[in-house]
Amino acid sequence: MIKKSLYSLLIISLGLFACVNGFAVTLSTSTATKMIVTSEAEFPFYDAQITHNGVDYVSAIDGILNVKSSVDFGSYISATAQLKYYFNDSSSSQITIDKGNISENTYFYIATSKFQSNYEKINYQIKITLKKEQDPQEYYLYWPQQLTASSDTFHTAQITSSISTEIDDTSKETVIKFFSGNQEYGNTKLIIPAQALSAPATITIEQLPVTDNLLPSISLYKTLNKASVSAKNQILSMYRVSASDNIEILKAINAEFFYGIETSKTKFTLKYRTDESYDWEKVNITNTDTSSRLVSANITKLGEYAVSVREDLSDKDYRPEKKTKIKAKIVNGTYEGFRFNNLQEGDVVKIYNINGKKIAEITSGDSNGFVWNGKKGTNNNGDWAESGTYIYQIKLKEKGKVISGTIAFVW
Amino acid sequence: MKKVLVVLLLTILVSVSQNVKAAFVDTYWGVRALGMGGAFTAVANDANGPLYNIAGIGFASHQEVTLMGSRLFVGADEVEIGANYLGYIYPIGLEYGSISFAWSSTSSPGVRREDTFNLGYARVINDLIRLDSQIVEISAGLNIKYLMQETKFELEDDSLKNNKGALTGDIGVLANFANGIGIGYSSKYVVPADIGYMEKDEVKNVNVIGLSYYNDELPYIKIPCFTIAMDVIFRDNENMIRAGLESYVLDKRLAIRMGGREEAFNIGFGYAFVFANEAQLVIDYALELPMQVEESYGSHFVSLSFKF
Repeated sequence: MIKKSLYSLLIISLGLFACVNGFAVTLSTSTATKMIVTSEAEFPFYDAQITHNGVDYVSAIDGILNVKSSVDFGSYISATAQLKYYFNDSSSSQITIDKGNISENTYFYIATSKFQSNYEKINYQIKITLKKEQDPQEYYLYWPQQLTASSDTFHTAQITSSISTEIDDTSKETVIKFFSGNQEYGNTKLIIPAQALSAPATITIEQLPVTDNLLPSISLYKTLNKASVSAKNQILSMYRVSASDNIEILKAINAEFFYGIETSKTKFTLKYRTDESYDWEKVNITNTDTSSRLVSANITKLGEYAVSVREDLSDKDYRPEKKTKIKAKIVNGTYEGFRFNNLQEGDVVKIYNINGKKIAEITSGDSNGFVWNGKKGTNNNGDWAESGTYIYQIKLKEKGKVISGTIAFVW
Repeated sequence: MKKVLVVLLLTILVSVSQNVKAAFVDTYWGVRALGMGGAFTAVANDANGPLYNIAGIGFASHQEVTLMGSRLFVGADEVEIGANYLGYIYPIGLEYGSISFAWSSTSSPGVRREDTFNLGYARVINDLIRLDSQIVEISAGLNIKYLMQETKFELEDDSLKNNKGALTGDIGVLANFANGIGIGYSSKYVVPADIGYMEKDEVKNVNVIGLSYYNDELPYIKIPCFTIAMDVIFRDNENMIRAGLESYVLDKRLAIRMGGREEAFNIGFGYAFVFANEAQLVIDYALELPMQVEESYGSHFVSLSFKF
């Protein structure tokens, strides 16, 4: 009799256990999940689902966690969302951010406030509160998964300012991502093509803090051997791309730099320097994706890269500062020729004499613009022009505009 | 006569063979001439003559004064260049020839200015070379010119004087054939003129050969008082061609002109108010449309001339 009772109890227990686990779904931190709905009071089984890709890394420089999620309500009619988080260990106090009402199957974002960079971890949890029609009771859905009535399971993301990837096999393409922790936008990324590195190495993307003390903004009015701070070129984000060994970049690396959320501007400048002791050089931006807050470029050098806002320039910003130049002083290096500022690849400067005949054309220069030093021909490769009054016309490719003016070149 | 011809030929040869560095780019002002594209070396028979071929004033039979104003490359923002010209011809007499005074100026305010002062003389030389004037009339002349440039230097060049001037001259020959053909030759800046501020900068010699043809009424097309002209300019390694034409209608009071060169196309008009004793007040306008300079509505020239 007792044995039969024990067997019965065992069978029932096994049956119950099977039922429970039959409805359980293993949680993965990197894929969408199907969750069991629980209430803190009861333990029923319902059909709502939450979709979220876990955040494993958060930028220490940007200091914001912004999670992206969506919820399939199932048989429920409304839902609100909350983000709960704490830093480092569980002894830290929890912070709750209410998102409010959310729509079914529509992505929503909940972001933390900007936090200090010296934290090492951030632990977070998404809590969804669901309601049924004509039912005053609230039902709770969690990410990470909750199997018990307790809601103390959190996902941990590392707060970091760099990420390193060891590349053993240079014959394959490697993608390195520096996750900002902001799922609303893109992430800084390097796509290193096959055979791009001269030898195996560990490549590191390090995000650098942007402060006035560390990195002065570089003025677009830079003159010889001089740089001055200008709000027009405010740096939004900075990164250092480095390698563990002294390697060469043999092929261009496609780089995407996240420029942060601080601006609604749409035009940017990307500049490069080896390190602090060098001047910035302009890098051509191949694509700007404002929805993902990314600027793309093909880079061939290791070093520091800065994304800054490119303010709309007026005509004056392109014209030469001096209207008169003397040949002898250009030759002896007292000063350079006529500098046409802020020009880039694709822009053209044409010089005409008083009869309207083109005598010179400048199609290239340095990171700060183009220079006509008084010589005829293309890019100063001809004989010296005569003393005279000349008309210049700057043709801006991007703006489709022509800026004219008068200069004098004398001997 | 032979000596005169030899001297002229030698001068031409010397002029053509010169290959000196240059300053002043040769400019072709004079509204009537500009209306004809600047092809005026074989015409040059008015107060614009000193600019194109000083020999032309040798054919002058009346006094003439002309004043021109202009604005270049209108529409090109911050291009403020103006050109002015004042010319005066005084015929002394058929056997003595004519003299001329002229001033031309090109300026860009706050940047640079060029001024040229001319004193010219020309005379028909048929009697000297014993040529039948029924077949051809030949005039020869010379111009003494003072060139001056003024440049607004920047702060660091305060040590330099803004003005620099130099003396030079032109010579010219013009032959008008009875059949309407005209052949002209002008050599400008024959005397090296150094107008450099810090190093030698001599104005480049320019040699121009001009051809023209005049007919009271062009056959077949019946265009009245028709002139067609062409100049070939030799200047160091930069040679160019200018061409133009002109016609007078409405009893020779209204002139219609057009012409051009590689970098511009020109059109022009002129109207003469005739007074007693053959005095005339002439208003001329020329438009030069640049072919290379962009975003410009052209250069506009206006002149007022009085012949008496």
